[in-house]
Amino acid sequence: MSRDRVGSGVTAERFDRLMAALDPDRGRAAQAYESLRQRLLTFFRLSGFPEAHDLFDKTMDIAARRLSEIQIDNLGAFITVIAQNVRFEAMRDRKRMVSLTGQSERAEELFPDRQEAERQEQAFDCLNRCLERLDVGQRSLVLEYYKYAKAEKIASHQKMAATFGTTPGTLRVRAYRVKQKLEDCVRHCMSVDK
Amino acid sequence: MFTDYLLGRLSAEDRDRVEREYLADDSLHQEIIAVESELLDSYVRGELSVDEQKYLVGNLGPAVTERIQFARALGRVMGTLKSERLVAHRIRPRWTTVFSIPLRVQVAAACLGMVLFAVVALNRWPASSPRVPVPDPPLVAPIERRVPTIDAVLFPVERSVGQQESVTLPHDARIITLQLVVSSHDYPGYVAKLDALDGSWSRTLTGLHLSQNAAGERVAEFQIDSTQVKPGDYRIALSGVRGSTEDLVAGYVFRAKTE
Repeated sequence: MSRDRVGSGVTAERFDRLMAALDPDRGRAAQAYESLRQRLLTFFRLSGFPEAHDLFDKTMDIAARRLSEIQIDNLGAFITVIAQNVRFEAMRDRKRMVSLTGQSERAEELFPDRQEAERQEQAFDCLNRCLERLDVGQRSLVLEYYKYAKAEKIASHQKMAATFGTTPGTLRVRAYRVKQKLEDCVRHCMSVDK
Repeated sequence: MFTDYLLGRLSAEDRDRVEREYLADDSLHQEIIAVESELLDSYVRGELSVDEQKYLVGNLGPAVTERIQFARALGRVMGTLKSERLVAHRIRPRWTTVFSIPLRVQVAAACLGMVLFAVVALNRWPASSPRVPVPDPPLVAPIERRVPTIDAVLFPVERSVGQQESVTLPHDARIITLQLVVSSHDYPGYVAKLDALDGSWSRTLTGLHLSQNAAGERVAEFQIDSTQVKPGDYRIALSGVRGSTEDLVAGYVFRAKTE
């Protein structure tokens, strides 16, 4: 997190005010900012804007500016409303673009065909290597959690949650964190092997 | 609700509510991206409709290709695990599929009786040989394993007592007694799987039962002839057996004694 990520329209003073509004403690404010950034990036991405950094920056610019003008009691709710407005404007702009060009981006176009089979094989090799690097507990968790599909999956997750003495939701996030670690490891492995 | 949101099945109102919830709560945000990842697994398994596929994949972001490659690779690993489990089922002795369950119980009881008779007879036998015979074949009828072999090695991942799951077997004694001290489970029977960490040796010990020792501990005990194992590190996985089901259990420690 740095001031550079917030757009050029925000002064250092406004940015500091935004951080102080997130949390008076500088360290905790940085964590809160990063958490908020992740949530907003997900929000924009799931709204159909894969390159969401610009929209995030725009949201934070507006929030920082408004903070210097008015008293905000619930900063989270305030930023949510700003983000929804930013998304609305982006959708409007995109519709205009689509009507000008006469085409929209299709999911299928996102898949390049070239060397796909080789890359897939490489991903498999990397995944096996990355699995070996996990400690036994994490490896068994991820392999057990993601092994089943459909009805079998539900039963397995309930049983696992009971074994761990936790809720299925907590277990899901816990398994996902290990999976995310694996995914990062595979991405790194593939970039090195490239 | 998160699944419906991620597959574009919600009304605008419900969608707005879900968004406000996860924007305000980081734990919900974590859960929604975990659900998204599971849906991607469903996508590569071909479980989503065409519309759902387009909606999900269209929102994956710039790393879409890598994420799908990863999901496919993970699906392949899981497929391998499942096929290992199928093989484990397939290699069950044929008689287990021929005999009915009541008949198996009777056969098992008869086998157990014979073994007990043999144990009593051996105890009365003159001590011409210091070796104690190790029961190689299972004491009771083989149990249909619901859990793949690989799970037995990897699971359980947590123990309430201690963290160690490997044990070093000594090699200077002829008889090694392994005790599994069970703290929080009570099954009619137990199965222990012992594997050399280098993969060179493996044995499943069935028909174990808990008994209380002098210290008041509930212990499942078994013996191994040291000539049958190499010195080195071994891993133990313990399963509780109830009826025809087996559950890998946590909450135990093990210790090795020599004679």
